[in-house]
Amino acid sequence: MSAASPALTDRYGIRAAAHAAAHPKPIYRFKLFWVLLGIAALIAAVRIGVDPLARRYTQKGIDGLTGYHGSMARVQVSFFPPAYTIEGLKLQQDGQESATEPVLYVKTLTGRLTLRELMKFKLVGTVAAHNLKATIRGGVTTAPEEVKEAGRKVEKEVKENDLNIGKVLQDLIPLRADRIEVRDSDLLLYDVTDPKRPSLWVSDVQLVIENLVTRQKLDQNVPLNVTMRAVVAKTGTLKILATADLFEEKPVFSGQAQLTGLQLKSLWAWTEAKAGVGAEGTVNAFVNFNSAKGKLSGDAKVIIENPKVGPATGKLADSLKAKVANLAISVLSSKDGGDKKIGTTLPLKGTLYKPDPQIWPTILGVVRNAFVESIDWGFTDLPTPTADKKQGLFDQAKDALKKNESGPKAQPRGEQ
Amino acid sequence: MRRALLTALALSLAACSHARDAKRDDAKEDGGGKAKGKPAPKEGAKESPKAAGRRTTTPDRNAKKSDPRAPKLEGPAEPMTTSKTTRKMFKTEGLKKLQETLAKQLVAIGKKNDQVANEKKDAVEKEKEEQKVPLADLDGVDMTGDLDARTQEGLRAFQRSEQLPETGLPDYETLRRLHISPDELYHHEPPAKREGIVQ
Repeated sequence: MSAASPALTDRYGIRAAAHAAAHPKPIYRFKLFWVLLGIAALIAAVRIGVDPLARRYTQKGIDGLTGYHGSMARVQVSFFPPAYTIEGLKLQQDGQESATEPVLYVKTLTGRLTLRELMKFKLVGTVAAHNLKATIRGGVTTAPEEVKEAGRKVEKEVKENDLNIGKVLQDLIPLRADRIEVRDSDLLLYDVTDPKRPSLWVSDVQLVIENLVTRQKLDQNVPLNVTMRAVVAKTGTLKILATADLFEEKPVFSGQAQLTGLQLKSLWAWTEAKAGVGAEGTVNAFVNFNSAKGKLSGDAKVIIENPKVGPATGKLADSLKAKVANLAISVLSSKDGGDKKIGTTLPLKGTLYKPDPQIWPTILGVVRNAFVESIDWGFTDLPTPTADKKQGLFDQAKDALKKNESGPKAQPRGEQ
Repeated sequence: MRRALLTALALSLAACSHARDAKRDDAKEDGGGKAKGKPAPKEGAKESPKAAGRRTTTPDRNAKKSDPRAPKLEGPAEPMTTSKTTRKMFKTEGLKKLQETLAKQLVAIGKKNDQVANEKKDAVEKEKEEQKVPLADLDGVDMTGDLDARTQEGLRAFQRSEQLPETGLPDYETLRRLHISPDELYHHEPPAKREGIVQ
């Protein structure tokens, strides 16, 4: 009997345990409910509160800028994928009326974090600006007396107005940009030091810069890359393609830029301010550039189709300038069908800090285009061949005027 | 000799015509007219760039009045020709793969666009969608192994459909979306370093 008793107790114990497991006390179920509810409420609170917090942080960043004030329409934070978006960002210069155009407007500015880098506790990612419009002040006029006079007057203004878009974006988006993307954007450049303040539109800017900070990881085994397309003065198409290895002791890069179809008439305000004359014609320019070990090598080919110069004012000096220029054009242009064409290639040697544009091959290039052989469109004859050893002016001219030769050669570095 | 004679003749003509021009300019300025010698304003422009440059002193006002802010231009679709150096940035096989993939993608995007366009019953909406990604003449990207005009236009159309910057040039993000690794297309080092171009 005494042996059966524990077995019975045991049996009853099992039953009790089974009963307790099958019917947990209501208090435990409530606890779980409250924990889940608490987590949900916390997530909701963070979700609701993070956007105003981010907006406050961004406004603080804008208020920290010197000489500018601004506002934004909306700030949005996303967790999956981790991103930070500012919409309708406007920056205005201090002292400007609120009705005037902002110096910087971005419809959408997004900072997206790279998850791979975030796992390593690094804030690295992409900064993308869509529909950015900026006014950039700067430049100098080539007329010396105007430089001095206008420079004195506006020196203070230039300093105050110096807008560093990169710094502004860096201040507002607190991550290291590995990729910068600009889409459908416009820049208005104008020369504040010139009394006439000529302006130039660079519109429809599409720009991508990639592998800025993580390229040393070599996870993709590719260099820094820059691609760009824009419309200059509403008529010319600018395209740039370049790769660079900035982690070398001295910058290493290769690339090319091409500007085609630029109507000089659309630059009337600039040419009038700089030279007192206005020009017509179509400009095509092709630039090829390379740098390694601190040395620089490149060429710029410029072709102007149907050039014509007219005086900007009724002044005698401007009229004379225009007549002389037209005369020079008629003498130095080649005839390609019914079109007049003036063109040459400018070889560039030297170092990054002291580039050495070679004048004689450039001048001889103009002569060759006019009298010997018409210059080819595009990059077909670039880079300009370099002479084995330094040539005198006479030898250079001899090469330039021979039809069978490739034209004036670039001279070895540091020599002409 | 002939050139010299022409030069002398032109200079004397210039001097003679200047006096006549100056007289006309004075007469026109008195009457509020424009000076002679200025080319006609660009077709479609409301005023000459010269007038726009002179009219105001502050650029912001100038921008507001003379230039419509944000002039979204299609611009001439001039493709980029490539220099000998630039060609050395790319691997030929990679370019062929890019062209092959791009051709397939463009066909897929074209079909998707047609489908979307057919679903839109409203004619205006349909027109808008068609304008979004114009893909006419882009179904034939040739396997040339060169970054030619058709490849650039194809890339531009693909970038537009993916809402990437429309450079028409192969950036790494565009390549990723085409499922091509950047190192399949680009050489690891710039040609300036690899080829010893800079002397």
